[in-house]
Amino acid sequence: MKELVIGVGDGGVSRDADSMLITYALGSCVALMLHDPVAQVAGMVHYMLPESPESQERGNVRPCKFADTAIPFLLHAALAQGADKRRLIVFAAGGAQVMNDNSIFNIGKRNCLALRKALWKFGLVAHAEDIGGTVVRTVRMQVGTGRVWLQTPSGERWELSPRRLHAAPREESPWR
Amino acid sequence: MSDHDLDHLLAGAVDDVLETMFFSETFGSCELEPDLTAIEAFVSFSGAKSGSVSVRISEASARSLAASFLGESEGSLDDAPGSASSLRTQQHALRQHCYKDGV
Amino acid sequence: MALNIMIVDDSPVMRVFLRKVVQLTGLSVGEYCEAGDGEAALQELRQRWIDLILTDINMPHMNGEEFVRQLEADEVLRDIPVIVVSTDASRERIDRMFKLGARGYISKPFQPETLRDEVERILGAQHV
Repeated sequence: MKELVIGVGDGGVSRDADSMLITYALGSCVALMLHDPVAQVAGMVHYMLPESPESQERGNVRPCKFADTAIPFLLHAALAQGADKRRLIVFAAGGAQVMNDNSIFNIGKRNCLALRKALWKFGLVAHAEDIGGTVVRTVRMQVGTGRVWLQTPSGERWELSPRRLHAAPREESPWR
Repeated sequence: MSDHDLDHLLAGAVDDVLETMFFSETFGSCELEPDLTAIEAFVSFSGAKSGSVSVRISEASARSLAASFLGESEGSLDDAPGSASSLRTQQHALRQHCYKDGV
Repeated sequence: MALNIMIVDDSPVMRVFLRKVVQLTGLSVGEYCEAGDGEAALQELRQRWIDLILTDINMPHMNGEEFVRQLEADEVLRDIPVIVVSTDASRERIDRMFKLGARGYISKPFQPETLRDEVERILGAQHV
């Protein structure tokens, strides 16, 4: 299976059913994923911070770095590839409080709030999410099926299924 | 319940409302700026403990909260009614917390 | 089949919020009907068919509790599912509203998906 890596502050959409979207080491960052099961369009964005700078600086920054620009970016990219907003299945992962974040500005929590704020603004609601906590997550989404798997540094793996917000029983994942 | 515990409880209730329905985080209380043009909402409560909790914010912050609550851009909001109504809604939600925790 | 939804709340902003949450459910909605209190809601209900009611409790003129009581007393209106959306989260109130005929209860503050799930649960059961 082809792996399409989404880097930090990056995002992308695919219609290649044999591909897997992957993003690594989500600490306080959040990965938002969209899947249209009919059009078989999948998208993923890995954002770092909740809010983009003031508008006059916006032209100089990458939209996927910030929740308020990353989420509409991903939505529009998915729609441009033929996804229908009404069919979209939405997943989210990340937003952990990382060990070296001792400030009162808990970036992970702020990123989670920004996620929910942006989803609400754009008329989306997460069907499944694994956010918060302290664990660093790696996320994979299979483009053809829309299935999502999470993995921790210790090697624990589980599938994130819609409507089931807690860890699912371990299933065989399509990669080693 | 001590006054300190009550303050902590009320602050937690405010945090919960702002985070859950306004997607906004608080960073603790602060001194009131006397010259600040602000919108204020307050909820009174009575029982084993009596008093009130108030939220006082600038018009700009109220507009931001209103936009978050409604899922709109700030620029698309009407003026005062949106912000004031948003605060009234917030006031209702604060009242829920006062009752819920038996205060 | 498009459903007609009634939202009963004395706060215009909360009515906007609830309408937006219903839109998130993906339900095919024919008509939204709004009222600021139970009395106005009952007048509307005599003029149009409604498939689901979301109602607050603390409202002027006729509060949500009396509104639901009157719905239950009506042979036709009692079949309309009612979800209460209220700041009152006391056990006594929740129990009382279910005894009066409410099918669901959401206490504020709530996340949009909480109400969305409740709407889908109740209308799903309705159509089984």
